[in-house]
Amino acid sequence: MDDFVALIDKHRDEFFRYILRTAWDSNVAEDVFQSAVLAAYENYHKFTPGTNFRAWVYRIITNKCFVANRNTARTFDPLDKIDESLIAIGERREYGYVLDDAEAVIEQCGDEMFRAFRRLSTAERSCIMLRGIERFSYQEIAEILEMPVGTVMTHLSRGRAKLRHDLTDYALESGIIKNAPRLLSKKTDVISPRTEEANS
Amino acid sequence: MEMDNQRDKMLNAYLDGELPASEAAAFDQSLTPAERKRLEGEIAFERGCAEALSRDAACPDDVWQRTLDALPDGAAAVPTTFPWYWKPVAALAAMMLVTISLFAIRVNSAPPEFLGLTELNVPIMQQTDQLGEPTLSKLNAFLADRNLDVALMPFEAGHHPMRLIGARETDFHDEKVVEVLFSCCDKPVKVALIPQGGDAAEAAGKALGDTVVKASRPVGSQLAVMVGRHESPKLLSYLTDTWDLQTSVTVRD
Repeated sequence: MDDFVALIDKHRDEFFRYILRTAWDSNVAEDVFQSAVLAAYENYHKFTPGTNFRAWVYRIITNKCFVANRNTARTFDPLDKIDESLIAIGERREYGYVLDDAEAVIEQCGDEMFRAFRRLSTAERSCIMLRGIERFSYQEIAEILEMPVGTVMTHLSRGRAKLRHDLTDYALESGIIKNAPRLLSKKTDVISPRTEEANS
Repeated sequence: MEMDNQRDKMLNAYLDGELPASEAAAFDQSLTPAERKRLEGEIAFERGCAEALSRDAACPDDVWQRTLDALPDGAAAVPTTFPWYWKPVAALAAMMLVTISLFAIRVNSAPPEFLGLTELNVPIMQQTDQLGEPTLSKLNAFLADRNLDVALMPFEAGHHPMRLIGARETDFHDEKVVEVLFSCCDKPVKVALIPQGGDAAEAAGKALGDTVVKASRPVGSQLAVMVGRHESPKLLSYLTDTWDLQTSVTVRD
């Protein structure tokens, strides 16, 4: 089992990062990490040498996160459920300000980035982490999360759109985006009128 | 500009390089100047999010040690990290050890050649004396001559321009490995076809996730391992274990 420990050690930072960002409660990250590593160890004899060890472990980790999130009694979405009540998230004109210098805006949003990320569903967070950071393909993500590729695509697009929506709101509220119209109300979804000068 | 759900999914898939080549080309053609500008911003937004989510999220050493301690006896016999207070001493000792024994370590732990980078101008690959001018049909005949139940399907043109460069057979611990070299977006990408379950497969499994060993997939009785610095997400999907060369399907070379 020296090989197993060496393999886990090689990827432990990314595994831990995934748990930290995917679990509802970051305080349980250590427990989930240990539980996942132990489960992987106990099932290592089932792993086919030469195939993707990372993806195999991520499947185990994701299941552990799913259980942990359920145990925290938070409202959660089963991994393959799509919230059909969500309307299409159209592009907001204010979002243009974010895109003008997206990295700087995100930097200035600080911890709000993590709060906004935590407001996403488990599935959306998993998909964004596996695609955006761990660089798995859609097919690999589908296999890890045991859902169709189309569902992965939906979670990705919705999750990213929600992040944009939340961070745009925060950037407007906190003045990070200057010269923007008054705040968009989340409850009413009323878009305030903008002048053409502000739009250019 | 309103973007409905489907177009938003297409944009995300295009941004992620996941659209099939023909769809990517069509989608690219359909982008308005405003959408192209938005796409640039989206890429920057994704990059910013990824950087933020990656920050300050490494596994603490004490968590790792407790995890090792929790494993059944024997598994933790290979401590892979030192307690935090050993770090300065360990770092200095490690530097001295590496400096003194660097050559020997490199020789003994160097990855096998079939898992290493191969540049596009490597003579034996470019020479293709085993294939003549590299064509799809010649490659598949090359594979069949070596009793490999693997074949390459024609590439779809467009999103990731791919070109077959050549192939060769090498040995690793008495196992035959066939390397097939491609140029993808003018960057070298190699697929190593290795027997499943052997030493070569074990070496590939350990190397997966390294900078250059990108992905693997069982195909027929072989394990196809993609090696290169460039991501070619579709390349392995062009390999098949069922290919009837006698059918009426046109082989595009």
